[in-house]
Amino acid sequence: MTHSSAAFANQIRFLLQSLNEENADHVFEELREVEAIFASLFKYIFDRPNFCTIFCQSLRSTAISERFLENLSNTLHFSACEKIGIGLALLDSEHLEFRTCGKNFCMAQIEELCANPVPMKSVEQIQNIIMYLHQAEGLYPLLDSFIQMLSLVHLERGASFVLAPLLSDELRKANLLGDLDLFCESRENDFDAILAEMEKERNVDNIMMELGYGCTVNALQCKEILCLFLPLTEATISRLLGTVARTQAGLGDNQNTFVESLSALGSNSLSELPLLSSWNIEILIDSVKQLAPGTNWIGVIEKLDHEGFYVPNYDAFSFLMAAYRHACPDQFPLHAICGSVWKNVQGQLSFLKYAVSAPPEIFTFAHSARQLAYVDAVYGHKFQLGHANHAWLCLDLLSVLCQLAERGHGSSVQSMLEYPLKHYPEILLLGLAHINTAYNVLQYEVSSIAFPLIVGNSMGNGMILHLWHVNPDLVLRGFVDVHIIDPNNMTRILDICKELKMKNRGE
Amino acid sequence: MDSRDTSLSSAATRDGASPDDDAGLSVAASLAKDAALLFQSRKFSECLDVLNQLLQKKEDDPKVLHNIAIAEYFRDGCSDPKKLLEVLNNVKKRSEELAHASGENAEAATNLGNKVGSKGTNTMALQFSAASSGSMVYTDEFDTSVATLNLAIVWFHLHEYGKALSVLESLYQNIEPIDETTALHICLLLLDVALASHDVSRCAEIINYLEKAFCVGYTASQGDNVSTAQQQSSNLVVKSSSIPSNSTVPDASNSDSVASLNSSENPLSRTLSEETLDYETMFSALDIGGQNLTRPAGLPSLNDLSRAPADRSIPTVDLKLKLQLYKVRILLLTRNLKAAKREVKQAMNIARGRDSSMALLLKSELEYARGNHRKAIKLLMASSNQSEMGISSIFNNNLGCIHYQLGKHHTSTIFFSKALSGSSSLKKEKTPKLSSFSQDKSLLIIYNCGVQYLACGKPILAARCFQKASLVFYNSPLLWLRIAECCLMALEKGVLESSGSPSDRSEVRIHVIGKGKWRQLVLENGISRNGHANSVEKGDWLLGDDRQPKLSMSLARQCLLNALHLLDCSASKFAKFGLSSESTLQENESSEVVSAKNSNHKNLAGSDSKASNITVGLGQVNANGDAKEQKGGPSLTILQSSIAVYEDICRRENQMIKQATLANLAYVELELQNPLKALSTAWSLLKLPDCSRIFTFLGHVYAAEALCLLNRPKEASDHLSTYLSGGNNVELPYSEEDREQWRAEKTMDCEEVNGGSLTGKNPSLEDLQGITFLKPEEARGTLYANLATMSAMQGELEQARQFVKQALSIIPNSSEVILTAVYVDLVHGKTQEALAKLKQCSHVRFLASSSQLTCSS
Repeated sequence: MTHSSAAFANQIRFLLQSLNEENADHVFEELREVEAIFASLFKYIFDRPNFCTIFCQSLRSTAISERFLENLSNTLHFSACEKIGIGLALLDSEHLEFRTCGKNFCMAQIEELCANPVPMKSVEQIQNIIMYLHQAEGLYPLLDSFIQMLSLVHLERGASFVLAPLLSDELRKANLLGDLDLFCESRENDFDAILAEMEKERNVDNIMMELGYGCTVNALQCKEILCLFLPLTEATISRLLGTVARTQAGLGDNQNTFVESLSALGSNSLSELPLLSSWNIEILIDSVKQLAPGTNWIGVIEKLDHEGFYVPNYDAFSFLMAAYRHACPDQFPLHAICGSVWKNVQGQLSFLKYAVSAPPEIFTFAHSARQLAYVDAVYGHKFQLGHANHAWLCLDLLSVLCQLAERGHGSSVQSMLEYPLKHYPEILLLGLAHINTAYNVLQYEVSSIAFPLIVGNSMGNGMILHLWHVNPDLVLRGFVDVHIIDPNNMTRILDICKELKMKNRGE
Repeated sequence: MDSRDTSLSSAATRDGASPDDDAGLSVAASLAKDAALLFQSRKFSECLDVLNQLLQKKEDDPKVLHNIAIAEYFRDGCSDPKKLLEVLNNVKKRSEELAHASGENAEAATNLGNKVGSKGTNTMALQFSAASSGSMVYTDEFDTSVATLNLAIVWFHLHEYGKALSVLESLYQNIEPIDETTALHICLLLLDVALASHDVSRCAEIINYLEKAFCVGYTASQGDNVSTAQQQSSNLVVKSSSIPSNSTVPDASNSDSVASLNSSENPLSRTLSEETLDYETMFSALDIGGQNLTRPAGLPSLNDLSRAPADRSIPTVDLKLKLQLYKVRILLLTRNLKAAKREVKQAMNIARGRDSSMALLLKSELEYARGNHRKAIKLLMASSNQSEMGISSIFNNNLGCIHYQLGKHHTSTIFFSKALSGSSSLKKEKTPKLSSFSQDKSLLIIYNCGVQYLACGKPILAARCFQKASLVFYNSPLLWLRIAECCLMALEKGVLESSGSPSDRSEVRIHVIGKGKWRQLVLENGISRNGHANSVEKGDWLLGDDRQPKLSMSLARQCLLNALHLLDCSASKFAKFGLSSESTLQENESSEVVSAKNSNHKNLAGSDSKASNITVGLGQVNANGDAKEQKGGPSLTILQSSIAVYEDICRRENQMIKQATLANLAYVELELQNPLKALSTAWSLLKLPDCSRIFTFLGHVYAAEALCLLNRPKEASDHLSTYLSGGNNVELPYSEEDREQWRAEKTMDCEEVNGGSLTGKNPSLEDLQGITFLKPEEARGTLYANLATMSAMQGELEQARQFVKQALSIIPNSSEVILTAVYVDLVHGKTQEALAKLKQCSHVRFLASSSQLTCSS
């Protein structure tokens, strides 16, 4: 905006300076064009919701009078509505003088408008005018005539909605009754549309959660509830799984109302309810299987990335895994959880947090497709994989963690890496060396801890060589770090380089 | 019999004793009788045929015209209330003209009537005896009261309570000469209208009148009633059950067109009084239609026919029960729960052995109001046969409300949608029904749906519901506040058309440019993607075809302005009349929406919370109500004492709504980059008497931001400094209690815990709403952040550093705070620290400027 105004000013100055007899017509023509541009600019700004601030602020240092406003509107060919608009805008000014001027101008314009009605397009402006006339004292006659005027001009259909509380009863009723026929026809469809939307928004998982563990007291009961939400799609089942896992404990409060709610829902099979302390996952899964026999459970897991998915603790995690094992004999689809960064990042982090530390019988990464080759790991290192779930050999996991770290979840990811960083930093670093991201935040952070350890270890040369093949940048950077920590490490670095180069040459 | 047929036709009146007429009139009489019978058995087309024949005999007779209009209305399935209104108005006018024209005759007639009347033992008998002796009674002849009543009924069905009220009021002012039936209908309808518009004092007045005029006077006319019972059975069966008795006397004995007139209007008006129970609010939704459940269509069905005589013999009890139930409803409305409990008990006693569904329904509502939700469900289940269409939708609605209160929002959606589909299928029934509008609670249920979806965080659907509901609730400030909240929530969730995704708004995006040692981080400027000044929205928020509401900040502003306007109107009404006829929705919902303001360049974070439930003073109400009422005293005193308390509640509610509205408006204006308005709105908020501390805080923060935008940092810091105490310490802007107070209604007052401890915590509640006021500590953090930004802007870096340190310790995850901190570090030249902070922040996202996102192996 500042740009263009300066350009305009320059252009006008140039035109005036170059004015002479010959080009007078031409200059005049050009000036008119500039004027037209100003007018359309003004109209553009006029439609802005913050017109009042812009207008008042730009007039800050101007002396203002009704005459000035009159001139302005005539020069720029304002319509009746726009004239009222600038009057109203001034009413919000902090200067009394502006306000008085705006008020007078506004009233004159409204009076004129009432005398010569024109259709008003902006409902917002109609609203502003009515509100102003209402608030100001002694303007009721003007208000009446304005509303009279409105009844003469055609109002858009949408208008009656926002203006309903402002219009006089008579005018509103005229509108209402005018719409009545339409209203009767359309409302049926409308209600149906809203109802359909409501159906769509309804989530079985949330409702089960609200009703409580009693839903899974027996298969009959469970199916009865699930039947309310047919068909059970993969997405629905996925939400259900997520919610059930999240709330596997601590829902006890709901038992009180459960029976009542259920009977209100039309179920009459229950009179007494045994006290349940958690969901009965077998019953739930079996019921789902019966109601949706063709369910693709891999697909269900792939849909875990939904709003609200969150694994609050280890128990919830193992509950979820137990549910999956009961539902589907296939191995857990790792790509669903570490194939990419989820939309629901928190949910993914919460899942990974427990997945990486879970014992292999609960969760394992062993079947991951992209693994750090075992040979990679053996160099100079005895890696006890017996008790581990192969998490840190899974390159997809490392990749997704790196990406997560660069999306503002560095601290969560770091806390996950604490254990491997302490117990097998080399493996971790080697794995991360395979990953390249925009900023490499995680890689460098791990490197800064792990690399000095490797350098310090006389057996680490093989590992460094390996790293060198995978990611030379990382090694170079590591050397720099080591050197900064202690310049005396230089000899060790040179030793290593020598060995590496030899090997390189040898290859 | 013949002789009194003269009373029917204006022609007869004019011609007096013309001999020809006698024969004609008796024909007319039998025609009228037939018409009435046909009407009763719902054969409207046949009825119309007969009426048209009658019309040929008595051209332009307003009564016949009136009856034709009514019958046509029914025949067409009550689909054209507009036409009916026109005809009724014409009939009314015509009658008045005729009355005027026959002034002289009338005088004579009145004399006659009086003469006859004087034979009667009491006023009740007057019309009966007068009619049966064939005299012409002026008031009967050109009486416009029936037509007027029917007008009011139509208005009522259209939910035009103001209009209905003004029509009824004129009748009520002059109720003495009007015959019993009509008078009773007028009173009952007036009660319904007054209840629907929450005009409690008028309710009290009418109940008082009814008790005096009908219950007391009843015994006198009972004799007549019984004596005419046999006669009636051969005659038309005009009314059913719950319409008291004595009114049937004149009707029944008039086996002519007068009867048909009356009877034709009776079903209409009766239904009214029965089913118009209060639909207005969530609460009162509870008692919606307790009666129309039992008699769903309110039409004289066969059922009624057979039952009629039996009912009629004990009508006074019915009226008594009815009045008792009205009292309970008024007390519930005024939230005088103690008194309501007592009255409902009494109602149960009266209802013993008869239909107690309504009483049970009200009892359920009472328990609901007391927070014994489980008990409320049980009572509701016991109250009636839910398989009936009409009731089932009310039943489901009430269950929805109860579950909403229990914090089971998702379950409540099931009930609401059941209720809605129930009432929509009712609408689709093609059989003629009383009125497509009257039975239609959809608009009220849909308001509840709106509240519910707002609480669930689904602003678009919620707005759609509210938009529908605006057809009824357009005069309620709360409705407009809610729609504005929908817009704000949509903004916060990033589903507003002009805003980005939610993550975009809170995320700090950092571009990584260059490689190796040349690598630079570039922070995106937050301003460019903020603000909604660019979204030019005209008022047409109904998008043409699909009629989806288009939420925008401009719409929010319009809605909030409407709310303010309505609040001001009701305030001035308070001032004038000292009572509220403004209907406030007493929803007892507690959806609080917070939208944190993220305008990066100023870092003013604030929160907006909406007022909502408003039952704050409940305990006090009970106390007051109790203190004032006298045991066993006349109902009027109980009611009146409740009214005073109720008015006070309404005033306070309006104050709370106003605070929320102003705070939201200030926020919206900031969002629209209209700081001038934002500033003046914030000032209005701060100037409110009794502005709560939370909203004072918001007022200051918003004012400060507006001033910053207006380039007046000095004044802005004045606003923020109000919370500074002793150097650089910021006080808590409000306490946990202040916060609790606004959410208090969630767990309503539950004095007797006999219903089990259901009011306990609802674990899901917090999650679901996810949005509440900032915690006091967070609010303080926000202030620190703002002060830090202000200091940084004014070049006081050391101070800024201290403030930002405090802010970081309180709200470490706020991107605004991080950015301020980074700025301060950078100005100090501490690049590494700035970098470390960026890495720590969970909202920072590093973006590759080149395409090296994928990992290479």
